[in-house]
Amino acid sequence: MSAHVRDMLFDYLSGEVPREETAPLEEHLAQCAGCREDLRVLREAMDYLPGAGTPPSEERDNQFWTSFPARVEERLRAEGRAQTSFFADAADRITSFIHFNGTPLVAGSGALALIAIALLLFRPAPEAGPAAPETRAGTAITPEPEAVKLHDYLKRSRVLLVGVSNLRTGPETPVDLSAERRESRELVHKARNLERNALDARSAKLVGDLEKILIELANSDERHDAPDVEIIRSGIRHNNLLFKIRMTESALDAATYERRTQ
Amino acid sequence: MPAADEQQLISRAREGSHEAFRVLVERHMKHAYNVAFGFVGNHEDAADVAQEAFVRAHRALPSFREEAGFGTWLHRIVMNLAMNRAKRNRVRAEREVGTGHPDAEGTAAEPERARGEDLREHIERALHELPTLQRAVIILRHMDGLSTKQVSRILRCSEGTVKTHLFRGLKKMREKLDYLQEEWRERART
Repeated sequence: MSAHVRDMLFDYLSGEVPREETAPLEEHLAQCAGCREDLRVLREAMDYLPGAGTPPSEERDNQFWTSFPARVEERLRAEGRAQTSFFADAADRITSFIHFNGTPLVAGSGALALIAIALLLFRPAPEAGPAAPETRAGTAITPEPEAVKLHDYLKRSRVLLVGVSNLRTGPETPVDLSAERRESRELVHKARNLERNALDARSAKLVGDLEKILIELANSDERHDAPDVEIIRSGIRHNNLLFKIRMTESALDAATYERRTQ
Repeated sequence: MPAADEQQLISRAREGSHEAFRVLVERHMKHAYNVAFGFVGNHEDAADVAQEAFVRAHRALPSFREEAGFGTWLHRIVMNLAMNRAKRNRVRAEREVGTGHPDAEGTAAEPERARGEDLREHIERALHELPTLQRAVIILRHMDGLSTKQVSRILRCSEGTVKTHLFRGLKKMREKLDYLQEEWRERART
């Protein structure tokens, strides 16, 4: 029995073999007991399985289908993606452009400029004494031990996300994310140990956003497919996570420096 | 559906048009649902997986390269999510039932109904015991009625590979069902 004939049997049973190929196939089947047996087994298997004739979508009523897009939109809104304000959206687009589309020079100088602005913004007010280390922007009010933990968490997350972002994928390239999944699990665990109450709102939000991506990565399938990697990458880009991590790291560094010099 | 029209919708959705994305959802929702159902086998999970697939597609739209076509790309997302959900359901069911054979009880009280349910469970079990690629090919090609070419695009393999896996998968299904049916008859006798 030839593999070619065997591969045609499903199409033959589904009536999809072109007319000019049907006669030679039937001739072969009449002479070949092995192929006839395969045809019988295949026919029985197809009879058991529900076929293409009754799509399950038809079992749902009209009301279900008319409300389906609205339910998708509701989920998008719940994720906070469908209701981003104009300014937040514009800021995201600009920073994404600088980080992902610009030339290295533009990205480098843009990042430097933004870090400089961040340092200016997050500098503690001169009148604030050591007993009340509050700042105008709030990023540097993190108590020191928590800031160290946060710094370490952010650094490890940044290395991981940069690795995933630069991963080579393609139809012929097998993707092995086992090390990344392990690291993600550890980081998710670490995030749960961070005292969120002790973090300022911006850092707490960043930890929350990061956690979602890390959970997604940690729970990804063993046999990782390129589209999954694309989804994770787009989550990183969409939320500007690498940029936000760098900004928070800079702010934490600035706060540490200020404390040491006081 | 004209490809140019679909491309326009994708571009507009990428630029943030909710209306364009809504049209894409309306066009592909039933297909996404059917693919998901093939893997998870129940309406509740199929609805959840199909909706989640659109959310993920929306999130991933900026990175979508149009060479594959939106439908094929979405199929892949649905398939990945549905396979994960099916795996999770199976693990949970095994945990809840313990040693649990699905038809350990109840066959004597309602033989006819039990037999029908039994067969359905046998089919689902046999299907889920197949290697991933064979299962995916059977669901997409036979149960969802996609063409060999469409399936090969979704699974990123050649048409020949699709045909070979389809044949092997169906043959293995038949063998497994034979075995399970025999087991069922044996238990009914005792």
